[in-house]
Amino acid sequence: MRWGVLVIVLASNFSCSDDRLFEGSKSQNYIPELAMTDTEIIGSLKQHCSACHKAGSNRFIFEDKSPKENMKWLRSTRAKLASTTYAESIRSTLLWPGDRVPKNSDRVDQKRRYMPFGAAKSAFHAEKLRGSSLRTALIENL
Amino acid sequence: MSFKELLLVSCFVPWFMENPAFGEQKVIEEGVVEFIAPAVLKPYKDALPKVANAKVQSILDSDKTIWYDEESMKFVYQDSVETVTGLRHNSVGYLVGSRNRPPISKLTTYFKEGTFKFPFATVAGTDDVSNMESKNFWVPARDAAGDIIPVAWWQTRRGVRGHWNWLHPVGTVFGEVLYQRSSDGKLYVFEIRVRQRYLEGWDVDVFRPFKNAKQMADAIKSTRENWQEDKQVANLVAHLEDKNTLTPSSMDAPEFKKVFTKIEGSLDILPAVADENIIKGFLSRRTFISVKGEVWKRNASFETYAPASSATFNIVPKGYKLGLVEVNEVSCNRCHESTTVQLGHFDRELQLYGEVWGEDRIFTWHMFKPNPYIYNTFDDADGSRLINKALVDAGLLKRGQPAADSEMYQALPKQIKDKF
Repeated sequence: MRWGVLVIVLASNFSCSDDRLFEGSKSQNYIPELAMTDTEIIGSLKQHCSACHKAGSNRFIFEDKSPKENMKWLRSTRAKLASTTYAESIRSTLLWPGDRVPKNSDRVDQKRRYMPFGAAKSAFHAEKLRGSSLRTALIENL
Repeated sequence: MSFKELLLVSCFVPWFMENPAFGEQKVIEEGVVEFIAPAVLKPYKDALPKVANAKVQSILDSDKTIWYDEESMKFVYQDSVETVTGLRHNSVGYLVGSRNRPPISKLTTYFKEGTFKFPFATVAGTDDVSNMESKNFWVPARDAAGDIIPVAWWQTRRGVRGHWNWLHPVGTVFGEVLYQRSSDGKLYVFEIRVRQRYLEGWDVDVFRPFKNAKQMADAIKSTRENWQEDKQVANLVAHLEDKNTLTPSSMDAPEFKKVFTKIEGSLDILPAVADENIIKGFLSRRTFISVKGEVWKRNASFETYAPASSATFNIVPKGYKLGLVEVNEVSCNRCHESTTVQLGHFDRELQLYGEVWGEDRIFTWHMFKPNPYIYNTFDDADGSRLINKALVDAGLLKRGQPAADSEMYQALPKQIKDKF
């Protein structure tokens, strides 16, 4: 009986519903339509994050790096406000609490807000990549 | 404070100082009030550059845009803290403080002659600029049918005492245009700043002729064939292309440290060019572009977000320090979040203080009628907060506190919560 419970628990952990995208870990089933190139990822980050993250102490977008170099930096550098890499930290700020636009006051943790901050988040919410949510695609690809 | 003390304070203040002339506001049509006479405004509107943003360009072109400045609006703060309440011109705090003994004289810690001290004194980054004038603009929100959505206002207490609150509806736009004068006295815009209300805040943008130093260097090279022959121009180009020209600088306001954290960064102080035509051409003919999130220049140690200058007339005037401030909403909120914060939070012994000027994260705009008797006076008459009738007649004000779940009005969080 105990083994049966374990099997059910394991099975539920590896189920592949869209909800997993918003639960804090990467989806196990890769969706080909959501695949992004480094250029697309960095281009999207530049479009939606550059107002606050291309300058200043929270910088993670570098104009003098290629998309590939930017991605390598994001995936290898420890984020300033989290104990993870920048890529993982950005990903966690995109895991909005439910598939709705978060409020400015909603927070990932004490130090971090959900992103993008401010008026830009509505445009970001509406942004599509090949018919799918850009936010979902970034979560999948970062 | 007793009545006797109040009388004493009042005696030190020139109640009926001569006031500079300022006119009545005129209702032009629904949603449009004239604060500045067209003839006065004309040279400032004529100097406006083109802007690479359709919405901002339409605002600058529109005859429905409401322009105002300190002269026409009279920049004021509220004093809602008992027992002496009222509306004060920004110059009053210093006048009262400087003419009295402690603890009232402590007001001079927070006010300087004419207005509040940094960072609430003037247009951000221009505290040390002498060659600068600014004009503000206001575009009230309108619904899909084009009808005005008014500013919602209400009082915290019944009667005339307590704080008078207001909220701007979603879609409202405020802006300020920064001008400098060339040596021949002609006006040139060097920056345009815009704030647009969304439900949870103000989206910001700033427009300048160049987004970074390289762009300006390239523009000089492409617009002036023999740029190398003029030593000063060549020197300017070399400076623009050199990443190691950044000098450390900072902005600090120890008096307001509870709400303002010292900003440390760097400035790129451009050298002077005697031939002003280069700068004039850039400021008058280039289309201004958004510099939101842009870095003017960066090296291994520093980065700066705007040019600075050693010349009175340049791409920005001497003393301009907005290079220390990134252009984004979070950055701008460092000061704008403090509208209406009571000065008493900074010193418990402070007396006759009031609130930092502004409301709803906009410093300059208010809904009161500029009253000659509040200019340079400590007007204790609680009737001094008179609603501007022109704003009411134009349909721009609506009395009543919006519902907490309103999709059009939302009070924004403050760094320090006050109890009025």
